[in-house]
Amino acid sequence: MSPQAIDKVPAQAWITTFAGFAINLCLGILYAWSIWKSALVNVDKAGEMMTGINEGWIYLTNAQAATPFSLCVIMFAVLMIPGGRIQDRISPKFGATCGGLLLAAGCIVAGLMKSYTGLIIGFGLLGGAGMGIGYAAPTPAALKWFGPEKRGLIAGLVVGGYGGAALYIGWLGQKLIDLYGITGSFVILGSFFAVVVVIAGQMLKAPPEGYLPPATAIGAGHSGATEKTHNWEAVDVMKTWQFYALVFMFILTTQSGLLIISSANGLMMTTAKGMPFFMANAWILVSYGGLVNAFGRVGTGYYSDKIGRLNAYCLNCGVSALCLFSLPFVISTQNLFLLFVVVGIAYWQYGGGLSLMPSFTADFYGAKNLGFNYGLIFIGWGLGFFMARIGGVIQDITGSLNLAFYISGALLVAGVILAKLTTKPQYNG
Amino acid sequence: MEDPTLINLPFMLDFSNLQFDTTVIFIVSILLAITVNAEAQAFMATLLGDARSEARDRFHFNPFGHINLAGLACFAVAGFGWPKQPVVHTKNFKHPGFYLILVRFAGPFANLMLASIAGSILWIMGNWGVEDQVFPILVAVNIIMFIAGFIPIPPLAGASLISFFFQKTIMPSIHLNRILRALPYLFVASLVLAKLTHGNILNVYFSPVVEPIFNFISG
Repeated sequence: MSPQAIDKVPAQAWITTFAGFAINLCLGILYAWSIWKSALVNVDKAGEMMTGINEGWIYLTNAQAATPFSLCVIMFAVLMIPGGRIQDRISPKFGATCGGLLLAAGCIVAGLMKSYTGLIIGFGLLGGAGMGIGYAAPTPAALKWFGPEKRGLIAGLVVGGYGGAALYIGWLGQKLIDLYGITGSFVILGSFFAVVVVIAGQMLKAPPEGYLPPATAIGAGHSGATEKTHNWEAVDVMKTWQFYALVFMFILTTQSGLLIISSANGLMMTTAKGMPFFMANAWILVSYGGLVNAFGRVGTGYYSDKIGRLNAYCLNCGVSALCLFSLPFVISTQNLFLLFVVVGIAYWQYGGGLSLMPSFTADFYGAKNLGFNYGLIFIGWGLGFFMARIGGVIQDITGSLNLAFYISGALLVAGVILAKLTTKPQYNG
Repeated sequence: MEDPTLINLPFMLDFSNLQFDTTVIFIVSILLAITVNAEAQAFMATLLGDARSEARDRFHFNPFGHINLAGLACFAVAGFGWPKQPVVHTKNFKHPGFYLILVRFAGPFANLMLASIAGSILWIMGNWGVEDQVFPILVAVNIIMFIAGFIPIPPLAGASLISFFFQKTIMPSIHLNRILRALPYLFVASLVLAKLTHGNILNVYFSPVVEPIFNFISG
């Protein structure tokens, strides 16, 4: 097919975006594990049979109940990059359908086996593998349809589905457990996921070879993003310094978000629990983070298209840095409103990073190998966790996290400067 | 989870009393550890100038493509092991001998980094009051991989030091190649023998190093 300019993205572009959103809504079940955990755990009765609606299940200890979740996270990490490759090489349809069906099968297996072993095989192994393979598929497929001026919003919408899943699965899962028991909830959700991914998977199509997104270059997006971008191979990507800059920028958004969330979220919960309003509406506390996280992904993506990727990154990091510098004060006042604001900003910018980075990658290195290339950049997300731990070391040495907050804030400022210096790589191959 | 008695270092499966959960966790940890080890070597090789067009066969992030039989057997016996060694064309390097050392040692150091990341997640979970047995095992496996990397026996990174210092004195020959190929299996066999006779040769050297690192990383 010969490249031809078009004025508007075809309907298939939007269909792909919302199919991706729907698939991620299913894959995000990971965030709702705590619902099942609370149904499964009973430390006093661990090892004993459950009665009533959950007959056949055995009560678990806390450590046991965390095992399927943690295994799921690791399987996710192991299979995410190969998943990106499946997406680039075979098709996003195959990747998403395969991942979604694995997860669906995992849920059904977990439900029917009615045991700890079943949860490990079903939720941990099959579920984690499904999420890893499936997660990599929708974002690049949807991004390939759009020009740089819409990438932010699209990435935000697609990954927003994953964050948004926490909201509805938490509620739905609880209802299903109450009505049909643990087995019923897994089997029903699994069947539901299977139907959704098979239907949505059919609609998930990457654009045909030679497709050019409509060029509405109005100076939006990252500087230079609107010019034609070479499709980089991973081997060449790693030789550009911009790759390391992107990884480092990813580390910074992740670490600061995690640091605030891990230190202030618990405090927010304990402070709020004493109030009658929150005691009656506990769901607000549980879903607050997920909600802001999801909105942060879509919102950041949206304004990154308007004001530029770079400015959006700087805005998020700048506000977060202010947050970090004021965190010692906020924690000392134990003011619930301020805590809500601080935790909200952290979730927003953490989610925002997850939607900014794929768009950055696409702007810099082209859309063709986006799945694999973004997988490499995603290593920065993992390294971000490492920085959060350094906060722990500082806490052990100095007795408080304050120094860690200041360092993290200073790093964010460094991140803004780095982002300002990072220009699109030139391909001379 | 901070309780050191929860995890024996090096982490090994108890074959007389095999638990399903720890077995699965151990296998998944191994897959992740060897993938990170092998990909880091490939990454370093590419970075130092060995960027071959057919780099796909070593740069694929598919855990099952990185499995090496002797390395896997070693995990079962001694708690550490190695991936299939990524092919590196030293001719493309500016300083072949020295760069090969850097490439091989990128593996173990990547394991140390993974251990740190897993330790961080463990720390955050601890902050939130979540008990967990998966990440401690992931940390343990990766730390052992890091320490064992220094053993100078061919599939492990330490061997690159030997070939570097004795490059001139050792003449490559068919016999040498055969010995080199058999060495990993002999190594595993000797570990099995040591285990059967209840000798803890390696642990004597491992424990003093592994335990402090584990305790530091897992908080």
